Amino acid sequence: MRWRRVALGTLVVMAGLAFAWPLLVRAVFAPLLEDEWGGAATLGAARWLFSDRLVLHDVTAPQQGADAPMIEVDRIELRFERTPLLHDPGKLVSADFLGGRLRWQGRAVCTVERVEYRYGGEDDKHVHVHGIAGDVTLEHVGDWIDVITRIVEAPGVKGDGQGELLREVTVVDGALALNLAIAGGEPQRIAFAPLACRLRPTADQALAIDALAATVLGGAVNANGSVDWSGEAMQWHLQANLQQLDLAEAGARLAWLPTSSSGHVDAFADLGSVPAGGLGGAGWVHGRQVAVWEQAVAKRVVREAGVEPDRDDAFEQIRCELRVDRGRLYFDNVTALGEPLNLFGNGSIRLDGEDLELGFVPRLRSVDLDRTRPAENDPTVSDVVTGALVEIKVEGSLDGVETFVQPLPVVTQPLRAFLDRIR
Amino acid sequence: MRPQPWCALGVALFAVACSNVLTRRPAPASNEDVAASVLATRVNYALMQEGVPGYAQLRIAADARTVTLEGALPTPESRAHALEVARTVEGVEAVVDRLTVGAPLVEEPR
Repeated sequence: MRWRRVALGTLVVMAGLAFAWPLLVRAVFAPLLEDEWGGAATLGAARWLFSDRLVLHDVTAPQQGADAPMIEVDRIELRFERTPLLHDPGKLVSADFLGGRLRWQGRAVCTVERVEYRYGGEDDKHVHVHGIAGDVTLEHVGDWIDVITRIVEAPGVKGDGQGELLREVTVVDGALALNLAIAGGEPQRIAFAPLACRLRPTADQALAIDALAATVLGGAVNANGSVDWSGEAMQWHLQANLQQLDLAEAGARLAWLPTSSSGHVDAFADLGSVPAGGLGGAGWVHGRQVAVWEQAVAKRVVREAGVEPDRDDAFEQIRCELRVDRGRLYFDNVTALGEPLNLFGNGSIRLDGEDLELGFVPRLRSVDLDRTRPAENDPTVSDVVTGALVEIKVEGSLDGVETFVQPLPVVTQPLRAFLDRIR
Repeated sequence: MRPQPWCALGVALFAVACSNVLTRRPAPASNEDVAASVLATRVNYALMQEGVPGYAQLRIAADARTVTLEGALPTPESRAHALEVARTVEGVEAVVDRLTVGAPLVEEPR
């Protein structure tokens, strides 16, 4: 009988421990979690068995104000350098946040499948974010979106005349959509999907963005960068490569590009804040089989050359160097080779879309008189056909351009004068 | 004295030479703030033109005349090629190698 009582007593103690242990663990770790979280947090359950690992269930940062977002996480798995409670736990070696939701005014506006934090030393810390979905708008979420807002509203960057370039960021089914305000036009929405990146804290208020990858308009974007918001003026830097952007898809989605567009474009941009303030950087654009003749500026340039483009016409190659400097975007060494024209030129535009200034020297690829206006009606045609140098100037703003033709006097006048003399 | 036809040819050649100068006339020189970006851009363009696989995922840091390449390239050959290409870019005097060999973090687009 005695052994039965002992066994029963052991079972009762074990059952009691099994029942009480999670409550005990929760009671011990809940205050610690609050410290780590940086504010009030509630904990549904906790699991810990005298190891360096701790699992927390149903963690919530309660709403602190009507407009404050609330974070809910289904499960958090933490691993420390040493066993907590028994020793000083040391650094957090890894943390996995599984099943996160961001709520705003009672509505789940964003879900995150998994966030991974890994610590391998002061120079090897990174955060992976996987599976973002939902509906997030700039005005509703916290610090990170504030960071993005401050970047796009930096001095010198203006989209719609209201100081906004980026009106809204939306994340739906893993696709990040940027709602861009284009000067004088309707906002343009560009979707990036799927989006993946690695965020690596480099200081208390600075982080590196590694291996950002997404698809956009049929092409691929790879980017890296850094943001430092420790000072009064935020410092940031971004390097992005765009590969195989599909102009046909871009034309279907972007109002300022005609639907008849086709071809593929690669591009690179190195942009960032500069010590003097504002935006600075450089880049390049490289296109293949590009057809954008229906685009307003392109159409006017071609017409000024006295040529009517055909549906099958395309620039076999386009190359352009870009530079953002002292409030202007410069297009240097623009070279476009194709039918019906080759174009060479350069120019610039103010970053707010005003004060456009472009100059192109056209060369007919092959002379087809059926496609040119009669020379007697249009002296430009005879210049272009004979290979004389004229420059097609484009001036104005993104809202409206003016085009006109002028001879290049330095070259054409001495040559013409000389030819006149020898006739 | 009547000018000779070869003079016309000379003037025409001069005109063609001038046309190249005109169509490639430089915009105002970039200031120091963007000089590093211009150099990084040149290196990136050279890597693209030379067909270095995985060039789009590299981080290129430029400082005065020194360029640092950071990231993963798929093979030792592509790593050596990238370094060689960067060294030949105008304005680059030194290349710091922080490249590794291994699978890129993301796939190349098709």
